[in-house]
Amino acid sequence: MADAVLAYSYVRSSELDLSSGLLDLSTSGGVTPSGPASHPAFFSGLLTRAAPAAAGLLGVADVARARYYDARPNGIVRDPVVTCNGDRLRFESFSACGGVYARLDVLQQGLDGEVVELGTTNVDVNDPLRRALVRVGGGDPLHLRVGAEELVATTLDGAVVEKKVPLPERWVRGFAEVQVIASGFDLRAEATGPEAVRFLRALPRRGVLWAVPAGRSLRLSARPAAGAVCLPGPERLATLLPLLRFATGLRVYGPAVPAHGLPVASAWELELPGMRYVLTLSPEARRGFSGEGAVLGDLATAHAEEDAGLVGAMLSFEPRLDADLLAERSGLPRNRIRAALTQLGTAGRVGYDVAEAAHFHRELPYDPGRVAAMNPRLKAARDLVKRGAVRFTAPDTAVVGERRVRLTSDGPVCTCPWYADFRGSRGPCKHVLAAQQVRDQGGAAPEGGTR
Amino acid sequence: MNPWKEVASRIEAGDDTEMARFLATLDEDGRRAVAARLPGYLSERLAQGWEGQLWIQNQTEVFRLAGAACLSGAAQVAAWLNRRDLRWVRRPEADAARILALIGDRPATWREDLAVRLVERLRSPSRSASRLLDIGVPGWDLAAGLVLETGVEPPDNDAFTVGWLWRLIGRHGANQGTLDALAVDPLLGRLLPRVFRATGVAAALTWDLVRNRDKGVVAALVALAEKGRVPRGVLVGGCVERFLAGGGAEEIAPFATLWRRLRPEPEEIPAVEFARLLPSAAPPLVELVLEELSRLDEAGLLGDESFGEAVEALAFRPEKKYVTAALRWIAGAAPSRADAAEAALAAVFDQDTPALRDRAVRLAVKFAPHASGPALDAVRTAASRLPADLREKIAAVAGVVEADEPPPMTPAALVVNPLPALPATPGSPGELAWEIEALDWRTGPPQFERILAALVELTHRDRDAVSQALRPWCDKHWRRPFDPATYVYGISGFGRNTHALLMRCALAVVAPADSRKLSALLANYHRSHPEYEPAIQLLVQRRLREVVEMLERGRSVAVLLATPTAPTGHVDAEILVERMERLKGAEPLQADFHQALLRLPREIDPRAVVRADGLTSQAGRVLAEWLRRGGLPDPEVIVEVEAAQRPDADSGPDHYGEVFAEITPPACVPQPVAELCTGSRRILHDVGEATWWPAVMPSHREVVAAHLLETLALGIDDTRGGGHVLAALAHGDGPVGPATASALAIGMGNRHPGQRAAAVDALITLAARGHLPAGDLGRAVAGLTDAGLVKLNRITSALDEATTAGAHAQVWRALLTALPPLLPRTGDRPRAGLGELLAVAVKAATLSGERGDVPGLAETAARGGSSRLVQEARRLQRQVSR
Repeated sequence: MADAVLAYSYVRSSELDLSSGLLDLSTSGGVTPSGPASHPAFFSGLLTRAAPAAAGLLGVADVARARYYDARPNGIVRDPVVTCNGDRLRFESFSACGGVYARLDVLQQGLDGEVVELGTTNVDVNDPLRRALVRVGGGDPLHLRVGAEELVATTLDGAVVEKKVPLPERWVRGFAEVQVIASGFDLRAEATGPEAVRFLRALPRRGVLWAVPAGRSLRLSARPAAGAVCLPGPERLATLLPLLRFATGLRVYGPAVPAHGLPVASAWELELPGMRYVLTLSPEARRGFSGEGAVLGDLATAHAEEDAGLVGAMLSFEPRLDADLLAERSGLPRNRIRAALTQLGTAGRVGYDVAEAAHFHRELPYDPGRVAAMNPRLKAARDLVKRGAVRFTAPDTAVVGERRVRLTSDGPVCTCPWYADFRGSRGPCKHVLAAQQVRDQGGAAPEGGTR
Repeated sequence: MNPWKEVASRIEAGDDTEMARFLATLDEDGRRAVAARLPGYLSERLAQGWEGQLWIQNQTEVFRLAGAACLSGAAQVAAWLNRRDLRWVRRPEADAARILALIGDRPATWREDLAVRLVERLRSPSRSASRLLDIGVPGWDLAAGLVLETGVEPPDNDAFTVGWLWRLIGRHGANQGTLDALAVDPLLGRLLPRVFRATGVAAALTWDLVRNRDKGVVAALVALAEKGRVPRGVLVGGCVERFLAGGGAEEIAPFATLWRRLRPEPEEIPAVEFARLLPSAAPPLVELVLEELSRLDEAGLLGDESFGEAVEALAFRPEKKYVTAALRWIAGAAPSRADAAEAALAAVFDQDTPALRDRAVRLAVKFAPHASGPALDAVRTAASRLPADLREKIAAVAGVVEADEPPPMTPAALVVNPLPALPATPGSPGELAWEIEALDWRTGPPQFERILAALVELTHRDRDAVSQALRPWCDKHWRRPFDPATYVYGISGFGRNTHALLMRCALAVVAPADSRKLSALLANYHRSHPEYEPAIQLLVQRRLREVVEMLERGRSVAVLLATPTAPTGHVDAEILVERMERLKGAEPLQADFHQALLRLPREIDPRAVVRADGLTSQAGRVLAEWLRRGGLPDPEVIVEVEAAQRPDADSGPDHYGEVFAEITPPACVPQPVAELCTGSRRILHDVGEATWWPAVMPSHREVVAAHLLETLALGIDDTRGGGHVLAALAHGDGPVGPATASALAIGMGNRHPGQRAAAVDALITLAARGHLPAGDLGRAVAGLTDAGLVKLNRITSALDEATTAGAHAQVWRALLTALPPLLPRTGDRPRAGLGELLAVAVKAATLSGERGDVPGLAETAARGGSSRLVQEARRLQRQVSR
């Protein structure tokens, strides 16, 4: 299938005028609480800490154009996504290789101004802007404007900046799914500013390493240990280095060390004055986030879609989604709220903030139909069930197509080569999903026949 | 005659001149007829596999001509010429000229359209510089030719600029070009500004600067700018733009050189921008910016604010030389810059190097009288993290400094990170089949052993079922029709690679006849190409070969004896006896039996000894006797180090120095086992295979370490340095001594942090189990450093990590032994990096609270000066003699 093309349309280019100290970020089509908007305006006011904010924005922009497994640039840059959650502005980007997610959260302490509206959209980042951002320094605050209403008038003159980039499905899917993967992370290690500087500056460039908390800092280990966080492809943390001069601390998040010992994803958060910069790394430099399958368990549940619709209707760009509150208001039990948030995450409708350990509402400004299109593996599994390809030969053993699946207490296994490659570390395969679905629907009686 | 047939015959002939002549005679219908058949013809030939592809490679030029002349749309022609199989031509300039001539009669708009499309589709290839000089960016000559002919504005594609630059360098280089020729290059005006924005130009510029020096394009551009024939502003402004765009050292270095050659006037130097580049710029740019800002400063043109930003940024750079540069700059600053100076100095207070810290404090004191209140407050706050003596100095000039010394270091708890549990054994032919299919270079020994065990056992139970399950894998993995020569002569090291051997075990089940052919040819090959492998590796191979041989004969055995029952590779004694019983008196496979003996734990359950007496086979009696005697007695291991000759001596054959071990085998052990204990001093050429070794002798890790030494030393600069082998080794049992210690020291001396981290893991494991031979480690560190076999700074960083991780007491004890021989004797120059090692010693001694007498330390501490070595020696002296 040919990749879709994404067309950004800006009223004009984003600009940074250093003489007047105005950072004017131009917005493309996005979503606000009142619905789609072509050039929404979110914020106007001061960035109280201009230098770290400019350096953080550069980091986000650098990640957007990076291809970490193949250093040759291909010239494709997808513009960052900005979300105004009321008390904070979030700038997100996703690397062209699909393996690194970056977010700069400018918090209330870093902002002093007026929130015009809540919502999500793309902001234009261009080369002159990047060069201007490097020149931001000193202690002077910067005036920031994210989208500007009065500029709509310019549109009538036809002064529109159009940028077209390919939008591969796996990229969009990865951008959305990284949120769901991050929601399984916990805080594993912390270091103060000077310790963070020491640790991050001494990192090797390549390889898969594990960071283990040691004393007040971290140390590298070649093998996973309890409490360790995987550091796959340390060169992908490069955008943290220019920010170190502002860093007041480092926090590292990851899932519990898995039994299979294979590399896993992790998140690296640098605390800056009035803001946070976080990078989430995929399990291997050459592997993107899409297809990690972390989401499949929740997506496969019977009510997921329906519940997501219900929960989704209650969102209004909150900076933190309180799962208890959502449960109370929707009347759904907690596990179904979780599944619904997973569903919303894969649809690009919620993000996950590891620092807050909470989801936040934001709508990825990509064709919603495209993002929400069903996960290919799940679709394949449903097709298998529909074709009647699942036949249980024992309570825990099924023949699915030409493969055999066992749903053991240690986790499902399958005889397909995909399972052999990843041993469940990228979620269940389609055969396992199909077998689980049939069993959940009560069709697991041996030979009894979902045929 | 049919035009297509004419064209096809000319394609076959591959004569491009003849082809061009014929195509020019074709009319519209003729072209259409050719266009209809051409793409299909190409696909047909491509479908013939590599022979077809090779043929097309040789006919690329004629194919391109035919397509360019006959396909109708500009889009079609662009796509055709950019096909992956038709992109690369041998003489691109000639190819471009011929195609341009052929399409000269097309309408102007068509040709403009094609020009734009060709430029847009150019891609920079990842080729080496010299190839790029010959061939350039594929398709560039044609695209550029058409751009010039049509006069169309070329789209902004970096590859177009890169291609232009390579061509320019090629034409101008080798003393052929003149300034005049360069000045009138038709694309110069349009593409020169793009050079400063395009990615991928650095390789070309660097090549030009290195090879052509003063005769190259960069030099010529500078000369033209001086004469005013190239706008100087484009070059100067372009460089600034490029600097602001960022990039790595290689990307930025040629532009820094260009800037230097342009020698911009102080007025042309953008001070604010340059100062703000300092925090994140690559080293070549930092170097340049530092020079230029100093030049500005000397001319009295640098504002105080820019000075402040520059020194503060330099003070925070990771490279010590820039911190030093900042201090030097500050030292010469006017009192009016006191505030800016203080801010930068505060950043140096967090430095590890005492000399830098001291100097920063001295300067802070010097500037204090001129500094403002807020600036002094900032210094006071930063000073709170300084040691007490320095804190007092600041307090004397800036007021009371609250001590915020890091809370007393608390030692981390030492924990063993256990090896992963054993994976499950495939229980059915189906599972076995996918395990084998999933086998790749990452599959570790535990998984491998389980697969081997399952293959043997399941085959014994039902050979047909296994054979049937493995058939799809076999058809996929082994090329049909089966030709053993493909593997024997086609894959380097095929006969010895462990994974290949396991594959052959599986092949022997499914296709014994093929397997026999392969084995015979391999045996033949190895007779004429003997390779000398270490004894341990030979046992690993022998064990797999005997399984292949057995399966080839159509035989099987109920169970393999040596399959590990623990992640370390150990085989439980009672389980071994039970496996022997399952053989029902039959003799086991030889190598398997010996491997099983070596895998017995050091402590043997007496019940197993009694039960073994019931075994009737010859091997059974050997096992019973072996168990009664308590397994393999420990061989004696001695490590010897031969120093590398100093670089100034005549470099003889021993120039590099050596470390090796002598092993003395115990008496009365079976021959293959004795072989393992003699240390053949053979080096393993594929370090990856050493993964197997810890589990070959899990109860005698010192012997394994002895075998590893030379292999590890050889791979000390390699990412595959064998660190993970050390980490596994540490989980084994048996005495540890000089060999283990030396192996650890070499592992900690590896160039790659990942490898060092694995060696530190090993050290921590040993320390946590109370097994670390600290004295031996100290001796090994000193001896290997002295012999020039390991670098001290790497060892220091590894020991520091181990100290942080909780092995402080063991590190301190190792350093107690290591330091005396490393410390300089009176009058000698101390070795580099010793100060940092002493800093680790201070940390380890502080954490462990131990004291001790370090011979030579007092002398070092009493040396004059304020070098890091002397300062740390004094700190250590204070710490251990409290």
